[in-house]
Amino acid sequence: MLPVPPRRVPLARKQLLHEPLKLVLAILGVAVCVALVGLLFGMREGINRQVTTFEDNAGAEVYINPPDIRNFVGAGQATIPAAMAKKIEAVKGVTSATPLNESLTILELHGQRIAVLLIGAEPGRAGSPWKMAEGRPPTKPDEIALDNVLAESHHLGIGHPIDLRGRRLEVVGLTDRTSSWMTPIVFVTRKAAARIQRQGDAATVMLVEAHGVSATELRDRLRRRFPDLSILTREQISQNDRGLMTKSLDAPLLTMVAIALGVGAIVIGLTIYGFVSERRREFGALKAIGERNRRLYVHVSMQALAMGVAGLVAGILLQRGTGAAVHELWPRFLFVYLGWHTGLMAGAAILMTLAGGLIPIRVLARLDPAEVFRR
Amino acid sequence: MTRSVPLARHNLVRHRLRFVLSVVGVGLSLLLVLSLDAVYSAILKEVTAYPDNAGAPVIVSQRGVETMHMSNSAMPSSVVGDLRRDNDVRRAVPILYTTMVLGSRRQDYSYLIGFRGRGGPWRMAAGRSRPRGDEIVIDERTADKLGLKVGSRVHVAGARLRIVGLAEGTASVMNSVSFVSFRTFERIFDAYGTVSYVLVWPRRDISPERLAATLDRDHTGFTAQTKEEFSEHERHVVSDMSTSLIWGLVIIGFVVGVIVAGLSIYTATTARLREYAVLKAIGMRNLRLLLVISSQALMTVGAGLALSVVMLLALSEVVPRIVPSVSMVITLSALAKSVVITAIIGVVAALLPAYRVAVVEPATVYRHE
Repeated sequence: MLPVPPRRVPLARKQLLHEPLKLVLAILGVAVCVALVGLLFGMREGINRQVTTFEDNAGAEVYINPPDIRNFVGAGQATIPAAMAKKIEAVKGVTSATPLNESLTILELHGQRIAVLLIGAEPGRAGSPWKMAEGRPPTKPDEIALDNVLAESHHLGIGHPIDLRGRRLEVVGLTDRTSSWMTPIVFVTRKAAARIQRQGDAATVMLVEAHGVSATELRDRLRRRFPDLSILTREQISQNDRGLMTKSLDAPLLTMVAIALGVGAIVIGLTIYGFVSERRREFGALKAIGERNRRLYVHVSMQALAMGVAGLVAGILLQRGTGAAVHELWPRFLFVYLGWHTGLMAGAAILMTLAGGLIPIRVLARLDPAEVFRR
Repeated sequence: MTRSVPLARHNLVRHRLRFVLSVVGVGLSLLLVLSLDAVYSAILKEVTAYPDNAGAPVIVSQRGVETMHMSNSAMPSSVVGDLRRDNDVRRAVPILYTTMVLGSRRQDYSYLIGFRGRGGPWRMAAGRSRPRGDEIVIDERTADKLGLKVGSRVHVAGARLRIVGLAEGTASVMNSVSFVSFRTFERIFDAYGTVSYVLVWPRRDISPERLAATLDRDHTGFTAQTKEEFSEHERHVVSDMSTSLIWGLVIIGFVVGVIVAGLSIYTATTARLREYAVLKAIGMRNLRLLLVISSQALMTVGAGLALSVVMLLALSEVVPRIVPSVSMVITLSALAKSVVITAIIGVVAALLPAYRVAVVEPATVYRHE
């Protein structure tokens, strides 16, 4: 008689696949939690990008602000004389200095109040719309260009009237790449913005374009020439805007992430605990024939790991699918995924797996081999 | 004498660890919804702190401007004279307003109010409430966050201002409120001849609603609202921005809750499938069995709801201590909403195992594992 070679029984896999519905539910639970973590961080990064949309596209390398002003968005009422542009342009390396009036304001459209970033730009110069979806940028004080996503969601088009702080303006253009969940960008002429804000011929910021000189070098040169003003490179002012925005978002966001991690761990723990408690007799039998606790721990850990990995893969797919669907339905929501987000999601899945795998270990450790004889 | 056996409860608590895990899982899922709602409710409450506490029953702003949050308002100062000449107006006090970033290394958004007489801080934690030239009052929580105290100096648009007071109840997750004198504001921001808002008190025999309506109708240069209308519009700005986000997380919390509760009830039911077969064999109908499963589901999610409320109460105490700018307000409407969500989760979670029990053959009882 030929000797029968010992055959390994894939017990962990068999148990997992024994009840597919339960397994699917568990993977789905982990996937939703992983996707939630990924979506929250993707949205945070999306908001980060949107908050610097102006700086990213306006074309200026250096921003000259009134004293102590270090942000572009919501910088407030402080101003500098627009006539200063000539003095700035006299500095070596500066190709143009353009005054601009920026403010946050509320547009009431169809009973909904929408906060917008109102840009008063000199027509055709730095800070005026960088990409038109339709129509043209405003050139007269009673004209306005709206972000095309905002316009579309409120069924507004070229020729529509808009009431802005007591003035009636006509939509002459729809701009592209200016949408944002927080504050979509709308453009008027600088004269119109200054009149609305009662700022006379003063500007809230001066946009400086340069040639043949690095942004930091030009910044330092300008700082020496205008020591009382706050002069920052595009990168610095963007960084400041992002910092302020994420700081207010981070506390609620991290609370949500912590809760999602807890739920994910419990989903894994519940599932494996279910497997272990329903198979007490089988595990008892394994113990009775000499299987050590350590092997059993490895066994449940493998199950937890399998669920964690499957949950991670499904979670990434769910995250990408949901993010794309939300952006398609509501384009003002932007999800940006960075490499470290995937790492974070993997970390979240590992944490859930480790925490979830610990739960049934207590049951296994206490399991009596005599369990096999119980009915 | 017949005795009723609390089968649902027995079945549920037989595996205590599983029951606890299910309750904690459902509790955390609901906490996901409730905690966001609590932060959001606090924002809605805090965003109206200034109009609610400035003391004026009517607020006048630039035509078309109905809010302060994410807004700007600028009117000629002659508006104040026009209002004071109105027979229905008892008092009209202008304020100047802008947003600013407070602090240098650590920063925080703040409203800056320039006031004289009325419209200043309403409750003080320390120091004086009336700043003079080159002085400022900032929020207590913000000062703590930025490492500032009474006597510290802050830079505001080129001016170096000394903190002379710390105000209470003037901070939210989004911004705080700081105060300087009207003259200091005018000087720093070169805002001569301009006012942002006018706080208006009606004559004793005129209601704020009537005064606001009359002013709004008779003057084309500004918008007049009662403070309640003003606050309502402030809340609208926040809610119009956040509604879709809140609903997104409510849906996620709901899905996770269904999965956790469903998983738990499904596991509890399938583990006892033979017992259900026995009950069927002795004549128990499917409907009764479904009731048993549904009551298990409702017990689990009900306990989860109770736990989530306890965790939320704890969070609302702990979070503001760790992150002073974040407050949490628990509202009755949020609790009512979570009760409805909980009930739906319970019913949906019971559907999965209900099918398994409905199709189980009574003969299963004779089968050996």
